[in-house]
Amino acid sequence: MRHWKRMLVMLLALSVYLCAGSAALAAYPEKQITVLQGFKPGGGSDTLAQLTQPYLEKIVGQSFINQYIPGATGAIAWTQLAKTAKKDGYTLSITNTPMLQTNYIMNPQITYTIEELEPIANVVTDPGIIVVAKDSPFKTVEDFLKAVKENPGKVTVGNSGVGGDDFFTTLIFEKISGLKVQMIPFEGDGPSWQAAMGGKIDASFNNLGITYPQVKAGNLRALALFANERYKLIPDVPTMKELGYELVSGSSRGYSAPKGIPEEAKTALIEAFKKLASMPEVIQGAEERASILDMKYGDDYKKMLADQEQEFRGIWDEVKDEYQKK
Amino acid sequence: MIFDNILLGLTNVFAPLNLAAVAFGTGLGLLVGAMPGLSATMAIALLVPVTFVMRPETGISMLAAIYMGAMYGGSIAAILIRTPGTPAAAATVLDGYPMAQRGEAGRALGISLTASFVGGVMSSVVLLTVAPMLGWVALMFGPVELFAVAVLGMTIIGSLSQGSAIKGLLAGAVGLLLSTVGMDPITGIPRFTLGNINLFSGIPFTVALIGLFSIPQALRLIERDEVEAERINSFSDRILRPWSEIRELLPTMVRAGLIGIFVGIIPGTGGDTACWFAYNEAKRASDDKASFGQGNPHGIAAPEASNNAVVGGALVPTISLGIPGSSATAILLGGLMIHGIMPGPTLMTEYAGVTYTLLWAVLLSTIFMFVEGVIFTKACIFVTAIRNKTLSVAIVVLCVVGAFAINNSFFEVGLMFAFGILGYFMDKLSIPVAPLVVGLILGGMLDVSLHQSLLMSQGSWMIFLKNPISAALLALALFSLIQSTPMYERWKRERKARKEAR
Amino acid sequence: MGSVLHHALFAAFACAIAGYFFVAGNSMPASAGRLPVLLSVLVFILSGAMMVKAVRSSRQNSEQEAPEAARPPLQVTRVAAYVALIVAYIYCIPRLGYFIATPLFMLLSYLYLRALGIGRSLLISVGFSLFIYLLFVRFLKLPIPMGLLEPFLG
Repeated sequence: MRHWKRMLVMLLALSVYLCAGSAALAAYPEKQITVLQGFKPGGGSDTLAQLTQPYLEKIVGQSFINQYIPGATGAIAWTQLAKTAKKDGYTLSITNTPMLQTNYIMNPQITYTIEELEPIANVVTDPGIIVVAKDSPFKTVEDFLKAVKENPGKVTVGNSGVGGDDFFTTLIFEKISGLKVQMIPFEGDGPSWQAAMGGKIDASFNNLGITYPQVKAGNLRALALFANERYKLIPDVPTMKELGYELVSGSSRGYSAPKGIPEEAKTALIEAFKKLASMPEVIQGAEERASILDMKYGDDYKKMLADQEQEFRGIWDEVKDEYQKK
Repeated sequence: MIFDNILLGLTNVFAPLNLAAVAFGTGLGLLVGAMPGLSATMAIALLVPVTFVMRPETGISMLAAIYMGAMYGGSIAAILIRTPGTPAAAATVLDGYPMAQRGEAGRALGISLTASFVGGVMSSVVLLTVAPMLGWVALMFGPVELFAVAVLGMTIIGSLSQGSAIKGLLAGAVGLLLSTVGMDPITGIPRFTLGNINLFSGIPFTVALIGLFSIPQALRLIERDEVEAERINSFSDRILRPWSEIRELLPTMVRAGLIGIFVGIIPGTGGDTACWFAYNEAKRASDDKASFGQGNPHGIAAPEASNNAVVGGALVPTISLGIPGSSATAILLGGLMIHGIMPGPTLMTEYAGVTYTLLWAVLLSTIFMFVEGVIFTKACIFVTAIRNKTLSVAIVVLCVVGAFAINNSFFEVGLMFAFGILGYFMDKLSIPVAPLVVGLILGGMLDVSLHQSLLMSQGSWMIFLKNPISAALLALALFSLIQSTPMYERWKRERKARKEAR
Repeated sequence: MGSVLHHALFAAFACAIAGYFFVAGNSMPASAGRLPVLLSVLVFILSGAMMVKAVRSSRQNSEQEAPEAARPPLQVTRVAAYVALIVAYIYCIPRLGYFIATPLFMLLSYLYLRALGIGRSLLISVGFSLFIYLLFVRFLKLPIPMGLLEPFLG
């Protein structure tokens, strides 16, 4: 019986085939940096990783390793970041608003808070958008608003899921306008705009960066943006602000570390992001993806997260009972 | 215009570097697929950053080749050690392992390889020719239609339960029940999670799958002293099957291939769903239903043809509309974005060079899969010669690392083992495991799409009948439900007897 | 044999799970709890039906029973010990580190199961662990816990 020998030879041959080396350098960062991803590969936070990390690697001279720990809308990864990750600056996570805050606002079982994090830099903010199918009767946002007024609670509006940015955008919209729509939660932005594009729902509250390729190709029509100003690539689409609705919202993605990392690591990382934001390749790459760079570093980012937390908590406390009633 | 693009892609794909990338990707896919717990999705995700240094068409072709290779690779483990290497090979276990146990491991693997090849070629041809037209099918499937698909899928539980209807249905119901664990997508309330946030996104069904199939097998291998004769050790039969056998199986393969393409196109469903639909249809079409589960070649050909057909099917909406048809293609899109190519309708126009190279690469990878598959499969013979106890320990180790790798979490390892123990006891009581798996796969889809549909219709159930697609699918479900009852069988027998009497 | 007892245990287990889903589901908003409650009722009914069937068939088959004669007997202790070993293995991975726990588990299992001699057991345990290290850690870069070996492999 020589089979165990053959097995070993097979394994060894494979091992050689797979072997890969890596070198190390001195001073922070002196080894690879792990990025915890709270979502599946291919999702929005993965997109950000692919926009930034190849260039970050060039800047800091170390590789960035993505570690996907999907589940509980990112809460598993963020809990790990806040509670168990080593505070040495070699573990970061992509932090997405509003899920970063709404997770623990909405679920008492989720125990991390933004207080336990050291926000490094926000990179992009993807403003909210209203999209409809190309053959939808709503030609403009006025048509949409008129229909909602005439049929309270009947117009179906998709969002990316309970607790997501589009969900909160819809709630704020309802609060400001005094109107009522039929919210349909989907499992992610994709299914939501796809349902709108296929005419399954009347409209989708979504994000500019995600729907832009379809808007550009004419498969979806953008009615309005939830941003401070119009976006240059779709200059004809008005903002809700212009129409008199004080409604600016969207989802932001950036990088955070656990609280208590060495000051040296924090400064080095912030410097790296500042360099990143000035690289022409990155600016161009962001444009190609219809991502809007919205750089905020260190304490500014921290303040932004804290302000948002307060806002979301306020809204959720108002609607919670109605939404989760028995 | 399209024709020019097709030619352009063809000349591109034969660039030596692209050929090498496809060959490497297919081989890696075979290896990854054959390892229980390592899935194609995972391998693609891990290799996306590597493609950054390649040309876009080379990188993306390599990723697609991994996907293709893994779909066949999964069946190797399913047939040889009764452990699906990928979730899409779960249905292959049902007939693949019994056939191998009879001493026909080579035949089982050969059928699987041929079927994978047929499914792969079918879907790549569809992809190359009619993809732009078919893309819109993906948009036709909203919540209402998906609910009908899930209901149709429920009838598979009935069909898998023949022989011991009550036990099968019980397993299916438990599977459905367990699929409701996790955050309710409609209200955001965590359900049945025992306060554990690891369960907030539900029970990852790949984890359950590894546990339910592999651990019981590992225990079975050591529970008795080994009898030499019971082991799969003959590997004398050829992997390349004779034409007469293939011709007989061809209708099954083609039918399964079409199912695979179709299921692939529907966003949110992939090989893990398609293999069960295809298995079910093969069984429904067969006159010899009793031999399914005992090593019927159709029971191997159907799931294997369908899961490779999913690759092309899932790419249809991906390239024509930028809508990923499965989780693996979602990552493929990410691989394009790394090169600044926005996923969306422009893939067919602005980036036609890349896209059509990819499409040819898919076809090419099926050919590589066949050639490399024969060699790789022969290299896997050694598994059949390992003694049961030795193999059992290796299976356990692979399951543990595989379950961990799915979400990089130890919670999943414990969960996997708990399902393993459940599976072992179910096996001892001859309660079939397959219905539980189907329940777990389809339960989430059923629950979510039902509630979304009812929100859309303001609570009216009529929405399912007013929608033509869903009404047709539901009627089909009703029909196959009736067909699987003993009453129908009796009626059919009586009718036949009457005919013969005449 | 205790076929009825075994079925009863499984039915009780299924009912216990369903019972939890039933109780918890009833305290949820209707849209979240409706389907699980319905399904748990279904599990109750089917468990009951399975029991009835098991009792009936055990009455019919009480005389004719010897299908297992040809095969070697089921080694219950061995299975239980093996399961205990696996549980200990899973428990130890995050604490000792994967690449200590794995060779150890393999070695102990082989010796306990008398699958191989000490030399071969050692060789395969270490060889297989090395293979996993190269495939999962070096190539696929999975964050497998190194535990005590962290300073050497990390």
